Amino acid sequence: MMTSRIKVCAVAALMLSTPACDLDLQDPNRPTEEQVISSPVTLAQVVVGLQAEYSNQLGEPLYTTGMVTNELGAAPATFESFRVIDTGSADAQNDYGFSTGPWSGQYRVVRVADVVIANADNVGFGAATVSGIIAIGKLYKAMALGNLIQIYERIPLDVSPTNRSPQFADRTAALDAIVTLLEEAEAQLVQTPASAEFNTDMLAAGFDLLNTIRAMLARYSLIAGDLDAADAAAASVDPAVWSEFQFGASDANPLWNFALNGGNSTAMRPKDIWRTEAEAGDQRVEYWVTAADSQGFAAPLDAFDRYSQRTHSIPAYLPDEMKLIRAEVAARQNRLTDALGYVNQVRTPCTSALPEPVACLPALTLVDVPTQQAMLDEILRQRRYELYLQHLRWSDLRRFGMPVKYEWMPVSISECDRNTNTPPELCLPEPPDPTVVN
Amino acid sequence: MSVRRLTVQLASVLAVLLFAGPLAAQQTYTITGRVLAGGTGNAIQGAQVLLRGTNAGGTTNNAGAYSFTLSAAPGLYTLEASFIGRETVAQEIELGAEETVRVPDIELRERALELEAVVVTGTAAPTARRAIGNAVSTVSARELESTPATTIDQALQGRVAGAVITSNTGTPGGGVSVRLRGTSSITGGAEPLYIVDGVIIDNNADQQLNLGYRSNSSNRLADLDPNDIERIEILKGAAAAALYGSRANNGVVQIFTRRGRIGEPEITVSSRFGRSELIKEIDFALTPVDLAGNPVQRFDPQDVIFRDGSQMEHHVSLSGGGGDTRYYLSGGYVEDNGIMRGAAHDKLNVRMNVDQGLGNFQLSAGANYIRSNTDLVINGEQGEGGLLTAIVFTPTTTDLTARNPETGELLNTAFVFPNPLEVLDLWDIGQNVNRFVGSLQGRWAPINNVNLEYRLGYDNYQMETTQFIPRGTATAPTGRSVSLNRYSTLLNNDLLASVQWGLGGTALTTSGGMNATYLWAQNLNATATDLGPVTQLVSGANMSASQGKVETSTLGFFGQQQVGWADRIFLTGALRMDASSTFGPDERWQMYPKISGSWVLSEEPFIRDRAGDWLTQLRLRGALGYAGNQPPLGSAYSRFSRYGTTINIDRIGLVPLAESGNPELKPERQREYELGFDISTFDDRVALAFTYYNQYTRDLLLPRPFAPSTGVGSVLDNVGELSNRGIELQLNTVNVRRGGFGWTSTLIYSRNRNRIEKLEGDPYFVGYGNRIEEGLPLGVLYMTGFRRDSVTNAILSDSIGPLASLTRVVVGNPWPEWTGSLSNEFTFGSNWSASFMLDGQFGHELWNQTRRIQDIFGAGPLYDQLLRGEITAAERTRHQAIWENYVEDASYVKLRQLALRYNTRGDWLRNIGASALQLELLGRNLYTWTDYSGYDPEINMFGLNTVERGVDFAVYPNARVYTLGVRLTY
Repeated sequence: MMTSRIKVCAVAALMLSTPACDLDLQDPNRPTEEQVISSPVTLAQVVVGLQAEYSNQLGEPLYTTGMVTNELGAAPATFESFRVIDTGSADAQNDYGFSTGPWSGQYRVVRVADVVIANADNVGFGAATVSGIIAIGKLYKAMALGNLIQIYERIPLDVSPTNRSPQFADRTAALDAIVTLLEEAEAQLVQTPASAEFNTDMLAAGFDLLNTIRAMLARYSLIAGDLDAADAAAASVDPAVWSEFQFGASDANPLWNFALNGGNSTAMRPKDIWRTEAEAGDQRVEYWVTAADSQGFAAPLDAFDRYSQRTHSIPAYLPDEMKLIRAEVAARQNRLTDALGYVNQVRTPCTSALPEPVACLPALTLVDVPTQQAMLDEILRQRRYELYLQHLRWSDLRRFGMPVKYEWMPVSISECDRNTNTPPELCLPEPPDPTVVN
Repeated sequence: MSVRRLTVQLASVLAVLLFAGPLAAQQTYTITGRVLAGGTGNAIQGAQVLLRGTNAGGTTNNAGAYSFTLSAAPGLYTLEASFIGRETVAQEIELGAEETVRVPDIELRERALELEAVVVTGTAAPTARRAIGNAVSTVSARELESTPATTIDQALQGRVAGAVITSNTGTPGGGVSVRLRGTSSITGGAEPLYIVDGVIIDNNADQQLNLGYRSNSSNRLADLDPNDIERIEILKGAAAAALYGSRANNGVVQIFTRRGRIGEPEITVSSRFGRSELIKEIDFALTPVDLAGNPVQRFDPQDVIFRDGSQMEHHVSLSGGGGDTRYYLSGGYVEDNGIMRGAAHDKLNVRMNVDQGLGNFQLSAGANYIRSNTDLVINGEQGEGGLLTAIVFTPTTTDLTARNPETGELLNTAFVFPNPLEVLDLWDIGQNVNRFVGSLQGRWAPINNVNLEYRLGYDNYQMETTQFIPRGTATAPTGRSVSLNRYSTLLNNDLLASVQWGLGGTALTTSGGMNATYLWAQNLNATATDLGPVTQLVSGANMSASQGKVETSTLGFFGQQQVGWADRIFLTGALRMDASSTFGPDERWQMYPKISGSWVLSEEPFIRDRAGDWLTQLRLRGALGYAGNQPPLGSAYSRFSRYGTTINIDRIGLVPLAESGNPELKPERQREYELGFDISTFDDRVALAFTYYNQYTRDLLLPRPFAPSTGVGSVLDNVGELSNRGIELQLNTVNVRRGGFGWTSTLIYSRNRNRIEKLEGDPYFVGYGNRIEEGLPLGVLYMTGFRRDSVTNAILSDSIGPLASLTRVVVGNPWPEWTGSLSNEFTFGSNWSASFMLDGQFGHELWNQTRRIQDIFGAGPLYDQLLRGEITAAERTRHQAIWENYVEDASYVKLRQLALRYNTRGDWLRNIGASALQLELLGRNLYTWTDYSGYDPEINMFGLNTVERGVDFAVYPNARVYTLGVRLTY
């Protein structure tokens, strides 16, 4: 059959014909997945693409948490969804960007990470390069799932382009999976340190892979409630290292892109209560915002400082988060002196060799924070000001038992419609807590 | 008969044909005569006269006279005279001793039904209409000439049963959307396949990104010059179009251009001059008070942007033929200055058609070069630089013309959109097209009744759209210069073979062939900002460029068998195998069968004997066929999972596209059957053609959205089904034909019902609110409506006014329930003729977003009511929020055209060397009967877009046109 077709084609070709008989035309504009995963050059570009995808998709988790926790407020004339979320209204829908954006963005990261992990060892890279690729793949997958589990109550873990209706896992299983990915990534990298090829050609500038893996391990162990693991991981992070997502001439800080670029300049800005409720003299305030006191939709708003330019980097984590994790572990284990030590390490510095915020506040004594509860309150306050817009405030409020506007975001309407295994109760917005004001 | 024996016989016949010399003594004869219209006795120009059994013949001139010479052996011959729309008459003549033979006048009577006319499209070999089982519409040059339309599709309006033809915009050079028997796709194209002289041409409607995006649709069919057209054949569905395989779901339109005829060279020179004007102005809020009741001045902004337009059209042609050579050369120039300031279009068209006979081999070549330039005015959704868009967004208190008396600069520039006068003064937006369409055909008839044909077609164009905005405007403070280029090449190869033979009393036509089509297109775009001085080219401190390419290739083979019994019963069966590069290898080869039948009942003795004179002709016909549809060019590679580039800190990366590949992609597949009859009575003076059709399209291509947890956005998949059912009716009558007075009428009626039969996934809507939902017609208007009582359906109100529905609801259908037209042609003596056509579409709705925006921005009639104190501010807000308020019945009837012609062959013409003169007065869109409140109910803002229809949003309206024409024949 095939050969006869070719013969007929040859006859036509003789008659002034054309490339017309070639029916296997390839896209000259873009490579196929098959091509991409079969060459070291293109697979290395997918590793770069994974990092690009994550930094581009990072804006949505950051501002979703910001809007839900009053770090950010809706501008006077903006999208209905921003106004609804700002006021904590029960009208919140699961077709809002707050529901759909983080969901689809983070799962895209998971898909790219899975491609990287699955194909790292198939294209002839040396062991040290493979190690770096697998470690970064697992880290980014863990961070994406971690972003999801801080916004949604339950999430699917067994995902792939071919599994069209994955089952949802509960929080314990999800956090287990995240921690396992991070532990594997750390073990991998410690056993076989990444090659220079990986560090130079694939790893983004300004990003420290090993310390970020350890910091994430500390963060998610804490959220999972494994205090000892959190403490150990936090202790293993080098406090003199700064790790961040940078942006160049062609990509842009996604929060800047959404909040300040183009037509969205009116969407949202920092709420001024974050600034006005700060302890007098806390220098971290100016690191993040500029006082403006303009009237927003529901409350006065300030202006962005840290994210006011397209090239402003976003920290992968702030080194003082590790101190606050250790403080929290100590406080929860009722080691108040240890906890106070870590808190003061966060409060007192007035300068830093790193481009991190410094509080420059006076040291506290056990007279100031005499009880476990007072210590935890102080730690939560420090986390509020140290970790502003780091997509941590919402899970902090939950962990410290504080009221929240919304317990969780409803799962994206697209998932609800197309994944037949989506638990229906996750698809409806939870009624907001009426006791929350602002 | 074995193949070997057949071959030997063929070879011997061939030898005889090639080497046989003249057998009898030859003599030279000149044959002259006249062909006149039956009944009226008026001269027929352009009638074809042929001496059977020879190559000799001629064409009648304006006086109906013909004259040709030949050398032939003396004896009895048959002279045949024919003309489209009339009967063919054969006359015996004797060639004897006299060298000049004067033939008595031949009269051709008009026929309301043409069963003998030959149809070429979709038939593999030229076939008499009587043998074809499906309805084929033909439109003749005469019909096209009676309208002052500058594009072919405009000229087709009202001429074709079953076609919904809508202007996308009134912009000079703008496009027209043609839907044959409804829409049978959702994401794919829904426009028919266009073929010129056997060669597929590109009818792309690429709008070139953001310059007039989604609003100024022109399509490339507009490039062709209607003056060059001889005839158009239209196949409306799968049953007719199976020979075009995976591209024929939407029907096929084949255009035949004029070719030379044997006879004296004929030169025609024609010119038309026209004037165009806005059909009507819409209401603006002009009550001269503000909301507090204080007097203010208000301005009607329509005066700022509209004007009277002018048209000019010149066409020269030279045609003729002698011996074995026939030629047609023409040149045309059209200039159209539109009714909106700044809108202008000119087009140059040069054509050459040559036919050369070489014994039993015939070679035909056609070449068409087109160059057009358009000064674009931007409208519709495109706010940036839109003229009409700007005025509906501007409160009427604004004097757009106000200028600073010292600097001359416009005072009012900063609104939602730039002041239209700034755009007209400073911006420069243009589009130019360079296009070449060439065809080469070889036909070889090695022996009688055997035909081999090869066709090569080449369609190449380059289109450039440019935008220049100088420094200093609010839109582009540092200036902007853009050049968007599209290059496209379409190559087409056809090979056809047919044999006519017999077996007992059965006439058999066997044909087969193949077709290969290759399309290559490229977009190359460049943009500069921070412009340098003087130059308007893309040159500035900040430049960017991008490029995209696409290739598709289609290959098809077909075979067809036609069987005829006693010239009364015909059956045709055909099979096509088709493959396209767009589809996955496993699904690539698709088979499209068809079968059709035709039975000329009136020639059956048992009918003829009973019906007597009452029944002239009666024919029953039916067809069943399958055809396919390919996704648009944007999905040419949708079978692959592809990666796109991304940037991480200036380093290039790769990530999967949101759209994942579908290796099992296959064409949309349509099954259609149609049943109908043709009947003519009263001595062939009343003819009725009726067709019922039923189309069902499966495997509709739709992006199937995935759950986001898969990491996949969507996959293009074959998931939907939809149907179109309808009837077509055409009544032709010859009302009067005596005493030099003739009057014929054509009445066309068609209706179509469209329904989405199956849709995987949830219903959704696109654009402003065109709904895609199972059980509903495609793209019904789905918008905020009035809140209604669920039982009584009464509109619910509160103290302020009517309440809005809580969700979107279906508020209208953009597709007409039925369309119709009535054409009449009159001849008065041999000098005067007249015609007019009414056409209309009925039972559909348009959403008047133009009026809604006017109201919201303090410029519309509702705002005027507020100014006059007739409604409260709260009521106004309420009304604006209910989109159904702006859904209007768009039914209309238009006096589409009116033509008055004077023809003369007075002797005085000889003094200027001419033989005939025609003067004409034409009008187009002269009057519109409609309740629609916008500029024009005949609006289709989104052009060829399949689903998005029924939205009027600041679209350039169609104009009323008066044209004066003169044509001289030498």
